[in-house]
Amino acid sequence: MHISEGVLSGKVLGVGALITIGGTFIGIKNLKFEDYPKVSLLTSAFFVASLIHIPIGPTSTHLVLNGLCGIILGWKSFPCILLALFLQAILFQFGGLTSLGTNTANMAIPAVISYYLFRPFLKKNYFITGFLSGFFSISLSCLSVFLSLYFTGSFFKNFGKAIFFAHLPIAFIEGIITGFILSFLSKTKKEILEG
Amino acid sequence: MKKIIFIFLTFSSLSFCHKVNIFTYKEGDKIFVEGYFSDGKPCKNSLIEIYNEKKEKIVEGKTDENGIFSFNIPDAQKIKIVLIADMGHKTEEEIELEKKIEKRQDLIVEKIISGDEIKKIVEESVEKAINPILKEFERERKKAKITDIIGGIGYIFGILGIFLYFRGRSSEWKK
Repeated sequence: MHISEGVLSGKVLGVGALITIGGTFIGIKNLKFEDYPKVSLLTSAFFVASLIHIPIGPTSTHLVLNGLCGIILGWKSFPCILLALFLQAILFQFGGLTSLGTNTANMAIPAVISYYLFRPFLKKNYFITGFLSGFFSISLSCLSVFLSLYFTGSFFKNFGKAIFFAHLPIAFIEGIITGFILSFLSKTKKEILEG
Repeated sequence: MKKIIFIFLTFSSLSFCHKVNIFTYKEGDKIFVEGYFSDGKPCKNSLIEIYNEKKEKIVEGKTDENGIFSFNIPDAQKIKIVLIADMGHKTEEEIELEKKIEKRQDLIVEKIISGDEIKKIVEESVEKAINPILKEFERERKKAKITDIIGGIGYIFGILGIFLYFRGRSSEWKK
């Protein structure tokens, strides 16, 4: 999910950076005083999630948790994901600093969309809403990673068809984990899910 | 349910890791490049490109099932190895090559094992013996460290704390 340095074309990097700047601006504007602990917590969760590998079958994947950030934070997931990705880039060399904008956009846009799509149903069933937002966010992130590479004009032959199926295991697991986290939070710390 | 899992297993050949590493080593007349993802899985069928110091592509190929690609030591002083894997993963490494030592013909004339030949034999066997250890060492070195992880969490809270501090002083939140 993290696109390395020097892979994307200037155009794609530029567009990604612009989206990220805009999104981060809106996110910070929406940030209220009482949101800070919540945002720090989810940023940390997002930061650490990428280090957790889930081996399934021939491939092994890592958690992303952008669905979780999205459903709880909405637009605030932009600054959250930007900060987490920045630290991942400098501490672990995941992705890169030049591709930071595009990577953030790829993960934060689905988060914001899933906020608008699934947030209204959160109170009805925490697990199912969580599952759907996790599943949806990863699928959309994969699609936008694919599009970033496609518009750069490389790697097209490598996946094409496979992309739509290959992401399924991660999306599925991510969905289940997001669902469990949300239903757990709803029982123990309901105030995180408010506002 | 079983069917769904089966589909997952069949289609999940792409990797969704976040980082690729390469490990290069020399054995005899060949250079071996081994590509692996940050969790240790090999990069299968990934493109490898080798450039010389003039940035000309001299070798191109794909890694095998074990993520290994090998090529004869080229006639260059410095080479750059670039590995390109799925999903926008790319990594590169520069290595310096020593000049090839001596010519074999001199040895044949002498008919006794010269110092150079002994040196070569010893070098080769040491390389063979030491490569697995080097490889393990490289892997360990490139793994995410627990101190970095905890440090990163600290940074997050610190940075957001600074944010909060400056906002706390503005009149905004006093409403």
